[in-house]
Amino acid sequence: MLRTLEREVDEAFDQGFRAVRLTTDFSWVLGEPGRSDLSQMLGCEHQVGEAVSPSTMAMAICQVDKHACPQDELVALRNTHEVLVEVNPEFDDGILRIVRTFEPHGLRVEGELDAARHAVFAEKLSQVTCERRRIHLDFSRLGFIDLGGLNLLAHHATGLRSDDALVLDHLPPDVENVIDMVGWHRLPGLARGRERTSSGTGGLGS
Amino acid sequence: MRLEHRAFIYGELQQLLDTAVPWLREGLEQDDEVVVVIRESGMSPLRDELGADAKQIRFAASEDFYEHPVRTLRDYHAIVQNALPRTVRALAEPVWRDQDSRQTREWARYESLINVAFRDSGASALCPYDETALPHEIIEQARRTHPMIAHDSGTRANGAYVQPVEFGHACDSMIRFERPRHAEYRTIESDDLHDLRFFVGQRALGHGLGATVARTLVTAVNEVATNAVRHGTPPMGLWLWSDDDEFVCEIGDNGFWRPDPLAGFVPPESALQRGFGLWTVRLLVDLVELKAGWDGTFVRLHVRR
Repeated sequence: MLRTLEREVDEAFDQGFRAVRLTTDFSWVLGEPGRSDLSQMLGCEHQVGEAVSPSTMAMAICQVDKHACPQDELVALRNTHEVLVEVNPEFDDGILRIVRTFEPHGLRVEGELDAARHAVFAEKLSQVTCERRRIHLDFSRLGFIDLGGLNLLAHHATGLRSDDALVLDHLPPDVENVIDMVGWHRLPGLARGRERTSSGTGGLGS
Repeated sequence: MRLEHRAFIYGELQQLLDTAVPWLREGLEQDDEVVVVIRESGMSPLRDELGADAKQIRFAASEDFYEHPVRTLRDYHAIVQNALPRTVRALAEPVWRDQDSRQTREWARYESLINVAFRDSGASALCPYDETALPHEIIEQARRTHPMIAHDSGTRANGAYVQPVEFGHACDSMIRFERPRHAEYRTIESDDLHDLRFFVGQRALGHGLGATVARTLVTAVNEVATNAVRHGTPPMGLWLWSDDDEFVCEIGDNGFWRPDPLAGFVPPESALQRGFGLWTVRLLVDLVELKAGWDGTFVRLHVRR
């Protein structure tokens, strides 16, 4: 495979292309029956890195299904790559950034949510609202949410099934302080999710 | 069921015990949720007098329970809600510590608001006022905020009682709204308030407020400023200044708003109810003062260091 890669890259440049972009899904290698450990794969990744890195005009995206191997192997794989690709944010104006999350299903809300951004947030929230999936909002990188934002969440939650809730994960202490002060029962349909960890979020493409 | 809200003006502790103990026992007999919030000094004598009955009563020290009128109202509201379907009988003795006239005014307003917040709760309250220790002004206000007055021999309707809306107007008319010349000013032009939050946060920290208090204040300022942009009339702006221990933010606009004097005091059932924003703002800072007139609408938020 490495030889093929090298040959293709060289040929492309010979033919005058400005850049080469490669992508492949490696998950099948990880899922092979009888696979011993990760060292062979890591060695291969290093060589891919060497084939691609000397040139700034060749780029490769190595796709890995995060379910295909345990967390420590995922970390080892991540360390062989200089850049981590994430889904494009749904919205980003420099103050507020909204990113889709898949496990758990929902949105990560980064930065500051105020009245100027309620409409776009409500729209993105509606887009991830579907019948059978509970929505998690990852607030680990949330700097500010206004009272109207909390109201918006409660309002959205009233539209969910009666036994369902909007789960707020990794609440910053200041936001939690405000919610505790008004009382969680005054925000019907909102549930406290995972506790905040000091290290923030990790993992590949979470 | 209607609220029974009575003041008991007494001179000696024994007088209080003689009135409160049978009244509390009556509550236990009726299967009320019985709560006693009393100053530390009266706690032990009352427990001793109640004997074994004290075990069925929840006690709290007034010194802890009465720190912030809007929060205290919220806490009583929670007690009443959690007791349902039982009704609450509370001995409720506020503390009148070294307060300035503003705080005294707000605690008097609080006593008046009890009549609105718990109007149909069926709750029953006995508020003791120590005539020998309290200033005359506070005793006079108690007569205006309690529809009933308890005596050694029973309870009677209080002719001096003032309806809460009227009392609220009287409190509002006492608000003085001078602004020092050294106040800093920023205009507010849209609901994109990132820069305003940053400015208020920096100044609050600079004044020596803790990070949590500063951020809580920023949340409150943001809410009032958003309302000014939504409902006010330009020009909108924010002044801020510090005064000894106090840090003050004032948001003003040119519109004419006639707020109900009870607006934002009574705990809403949920965030979806009207008035949740103003109530939360009142909860988040030490004191909110409103002034609405022909020259505009001004909301002043006070936080102490």
